[in-house]
Amino acid sequence: MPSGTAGRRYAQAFFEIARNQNKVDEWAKDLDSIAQTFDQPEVKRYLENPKTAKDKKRAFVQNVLGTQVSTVSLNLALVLIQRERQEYIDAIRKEFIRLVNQLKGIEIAYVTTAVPVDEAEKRQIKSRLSALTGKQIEIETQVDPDLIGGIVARIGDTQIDGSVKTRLQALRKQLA
Amino acid sequence: MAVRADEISSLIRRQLEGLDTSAQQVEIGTVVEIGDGIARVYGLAGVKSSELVEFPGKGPNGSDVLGMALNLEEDTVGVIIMGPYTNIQEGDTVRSTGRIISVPVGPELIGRVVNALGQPIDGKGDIRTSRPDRFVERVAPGVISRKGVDTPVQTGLKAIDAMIPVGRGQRELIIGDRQTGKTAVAIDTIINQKGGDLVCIYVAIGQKQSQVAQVVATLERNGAMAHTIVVSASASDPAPLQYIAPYSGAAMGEEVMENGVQLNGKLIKDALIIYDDLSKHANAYRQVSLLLKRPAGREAYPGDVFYLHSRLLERAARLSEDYGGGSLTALPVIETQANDVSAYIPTNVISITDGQIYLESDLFNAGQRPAVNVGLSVSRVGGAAQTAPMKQVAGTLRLALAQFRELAAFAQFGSDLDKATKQQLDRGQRTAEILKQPQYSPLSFEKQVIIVYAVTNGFLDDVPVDKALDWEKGFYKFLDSAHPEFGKGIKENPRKKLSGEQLDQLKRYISEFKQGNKF
Repeated sequence: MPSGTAGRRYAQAFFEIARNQNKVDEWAKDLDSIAQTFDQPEVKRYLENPKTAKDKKRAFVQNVLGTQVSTVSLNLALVLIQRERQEYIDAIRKEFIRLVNQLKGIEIAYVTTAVPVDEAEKRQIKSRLSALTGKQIEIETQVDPDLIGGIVARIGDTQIDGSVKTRLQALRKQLA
Repeated sequence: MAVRADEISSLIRRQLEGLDTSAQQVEIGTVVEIGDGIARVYGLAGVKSSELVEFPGKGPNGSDVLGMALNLEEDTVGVIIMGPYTNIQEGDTVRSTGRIISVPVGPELIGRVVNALGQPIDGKGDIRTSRPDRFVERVAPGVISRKGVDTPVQTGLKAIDAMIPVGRGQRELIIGDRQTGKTAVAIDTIINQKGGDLVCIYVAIGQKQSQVAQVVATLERNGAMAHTIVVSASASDPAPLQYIAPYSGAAMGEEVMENGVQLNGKLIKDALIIYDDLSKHANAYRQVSLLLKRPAGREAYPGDVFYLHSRLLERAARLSEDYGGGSLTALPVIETQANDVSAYIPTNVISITDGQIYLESDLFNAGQRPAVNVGLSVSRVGGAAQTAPMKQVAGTLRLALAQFRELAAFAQFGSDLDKATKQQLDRGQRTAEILKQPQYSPLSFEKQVIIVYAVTNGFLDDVPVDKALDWEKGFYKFLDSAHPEFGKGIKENPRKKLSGEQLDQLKRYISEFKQGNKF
C-alpha cells in the first residue's frame, strides 16, 4: 500500500489551489484521468523504468495529458514524475475526494443490511442519517445476512448499530 | 440461596422486556497489525489516550477482549491488549468504549486477590463494590493538600524501626539482590499491621504464580489477609497488565487514603502499598514501548521510564487534616544484579524515593537476617515520624554499629587489643546479634525499645553472643509475666520520651531477670 501520508500532503496542496480557483469539480475529473493514464500497464512500465530519462517521461506525460487536463493538474502530474511518486496518485485522488466531500458537507455512509434495500428505503435511510449527522449523506449499500435484521451504518469512524445480531449479543451478555 | 425456576423465568422476562433495543452509536476502527500483545488499529479517530477499547467476541467463549489506546497517531492507534490476543486477526473491528481505564475500589476488595483490572482471581466469587471505580492513572496530590510525615509505619523489624524508620506517606525503597529477603521485609511489615490501622496492598508484578500463591498463603496463615489486598500481574500475564498493575494498586490505595474504609470497626484512612518489584515493571514497560515502536534509550528502556516510576511513587502522600489526613505509604522493591545499585533503574528509583533499605547477600549468607546494610540504608524523612522512646534509645545505634564494623575489620589483623577496643567490639557483636530476627515474627515497638536500650547500654555485655537472642526472648517472657504494665506504659505514650523513673525501673527489671536466669 503506497503511503497515505505523503499522498495526503500532495492532495492537501492541490486541493487548496483548486478551492481558491473554484475548480474543485473539474480538477477532481482531472485527477481521474491522470490516475487512469498512470494506471495503464504500458504507461506504468514506461514511467517506472529507471533507464528512461526523466525529461523523456515528462515530455511523454505532457503529450498524453496536455490537452485533457488543466495546467495545474498537469503540473501535479509532472511533479510526481519528477519525484518518482506517480504511484501515489491513487492516495492523492482518494484524499482529494474526501476533502471535496468535507467542503461540501457530504459524507459517505456504508450501510449494511440483512436483506437488499430498494430505492425508497435508501432514500429513507439517507434522510435519517442526514438528520442525525447534519451532513449530506451518500450511501453505499452492502448485504450481510448474518445481521438477521436491522441495519448497521458506518460513517467515517462512527458506527451506528441497529442490527438484530448486536441486540441478541447484548441480551446474551445481560443474561450471562 | 436456592432460586426457584419460575423466579428465573420471570427474571429473564423482565430482562427481555427491559432490553435496550435502540441503535448504539460507537467509534470503530480496524485492526491493521497484530502481534505480541499490541494491535495497530486504523480509524478510532475520536479515541482518547488510555481509553479502553473492545475487540468484540475475541476472548475465550466469545467474550470481549479489552485493550487500551496508548499511541495516538495520524492514521492509526497503538493499542495494548489486556487479555488473550491469539484470536484477534487483521481486519477485525475494534470498538471504543468511551471509558478511561479504571478499577473497582473500596472495602469489598480487602482480603481478596485481584488482577491488574481489579477482577478477582482467587475463586472467592464476584466482587461487587459500592463505590464508583477509580481511574488507574491519576495525577498525584498537590503541594497544598499534603503535610509532613509525622506518624510511623511500624514494620516490626528491629533493624528497620530502630535505624531506618518509615513514616506514613513516605516512599522507602527496598533494594537488594535476589534471595536477600526483600519480599520477606515487605511481608513482615504487612503481618505486623494485624489488628492495626493500616490497609495493606501487595502488588506482585511479573512474579511466578507459585510465588504469589505462597505469599497469599503466608499472609493467610498469619491472619494478615484480613487487612490486605493482593494485586497480581504474574509473569504469564500480558505485559500491558504488568504495566498497569502498580497504578491499579495505587488507585485502590488512594481510595483508602481519601475516603477511608471501615475495618475492625474503625474508619481507616492509612494505606501501605508494596510494589514487588519495579525492576520487572520497568521490563514490562520496556516490552510494551519497544513493541509500540517508541524509540529506545539506555539499556533499551524508553525515554519516559523515569516518569513511569516517578509518577507512580509520587502518588504516595500524607494528606493534611483539611484533606482528611489520610496517607499512602509506598514500599517499592527493586532487584539489583550483583549488588550494582548504580544500574539504570535502581538509580532512578533511589533518586525518587525518600530513602532505601539496602539488603546484602553477604550479610544474608553470614546469618545476619534481615540482611540490612546499616551503612548504606537511609530514611530521609522517617526520623520525624519515629516514636519518641525509640528515638531516645536508638539515637546512637547506627553510629555505634558503623564504628563496630570498622573496628572489626581492623581487629582481624589479630593484634593485641586494649580493653576499651575489646569492650567496643563485644558490644558491637551483641548489637548486631540483637538486630537479627526470624521471619514472620514482627516485634511490637515497646519490646524493640526495651531491647535496644538494653543492648546499647551494655546490659548484654556479659551474655555470650550466641545466647543473646535467647536472652532477649527470655526477657520478654519475664516482662510479660512479671511486669506487663511496664511495656503498656511505653506503648500508650509513643510521643513521650522515657522518664528517668522508667529507665530506673527497666534497669531494675533487667537485674532482677539476670539474677533468676544465667546465660
